[in-house]
Amino acid sequence: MMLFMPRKRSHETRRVLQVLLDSPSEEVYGLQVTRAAGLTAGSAYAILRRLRDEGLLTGRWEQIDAAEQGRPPRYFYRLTAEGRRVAQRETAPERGALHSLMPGWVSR
Amino acid sequence: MSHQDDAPAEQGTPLWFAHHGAPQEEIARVEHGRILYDRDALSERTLERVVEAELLTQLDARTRPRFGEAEETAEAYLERWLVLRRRARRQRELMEAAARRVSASPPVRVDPPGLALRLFSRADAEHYAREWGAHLWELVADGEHRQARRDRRRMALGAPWLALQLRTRALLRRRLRSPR
Repeated sequence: MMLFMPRKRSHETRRVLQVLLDSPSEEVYGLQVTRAAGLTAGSAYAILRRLRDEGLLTGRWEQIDAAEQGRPPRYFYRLTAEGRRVAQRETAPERGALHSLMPGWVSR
Repeated sequence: MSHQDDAPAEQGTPLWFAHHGAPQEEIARVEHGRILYDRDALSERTLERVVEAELLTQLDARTRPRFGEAEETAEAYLERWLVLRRRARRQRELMEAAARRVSASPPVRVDPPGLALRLFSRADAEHYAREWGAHLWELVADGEHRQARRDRRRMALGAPWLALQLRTRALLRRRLRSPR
């Protein structure tokens, strides 16, 4: 029996990881995640927090002049190297399914 | 005030409207018993004046053109349309006023609510209050007020402490059901 088993991630968590992998700028903020992953805000922020606590994500506040931009700064999340590795592993089944449907599809 | 003509409008007859000596303006044309006009070309004001002036009484009442599914007089149709236009304009004005209020408001400074302070560390509570505040702010700025209200509720419900609490309860329930 294996002493260490990688924890099983929920479907919602895998969707968040996929959004982070797919982001062209490699950075996403909370509202983007809720929209792209189709999750409720409650789930999305809880997942982002958990992933950050696990060290799979890092975050930073957007550096803008809020008064000039007319909106508050966003908090951006980015996958760490470990996070990217985990995200690719966790989303592999879905990517595999896509590969079988679209042979030319290449993941980043 | 208006150009009135008691004679019924004939096929292809343009409907004219002149207002206080302004040049006459062709606003519509009657063809095959229907009033044809370009909605986008006519200003709302013009259409209001048209109805006021009862210009459409030029139409032969017997013609009773069909607009949409039900048989409806042109005048009733236009009046109904104007009511919808006015309602849409009122909504647009309200939306614009709300957007102005949002953009004129100072940058959001969110104080963490008392509950969050009891559940998170001070730093975490401030962080989430600021992050969630920005999320709600953007939804409101996009006019998604209902979504903002829903999200505010969900954020509170989806707080990690609650998830942990529910998970613990579920675990306890399972243990109680099958004690081993």
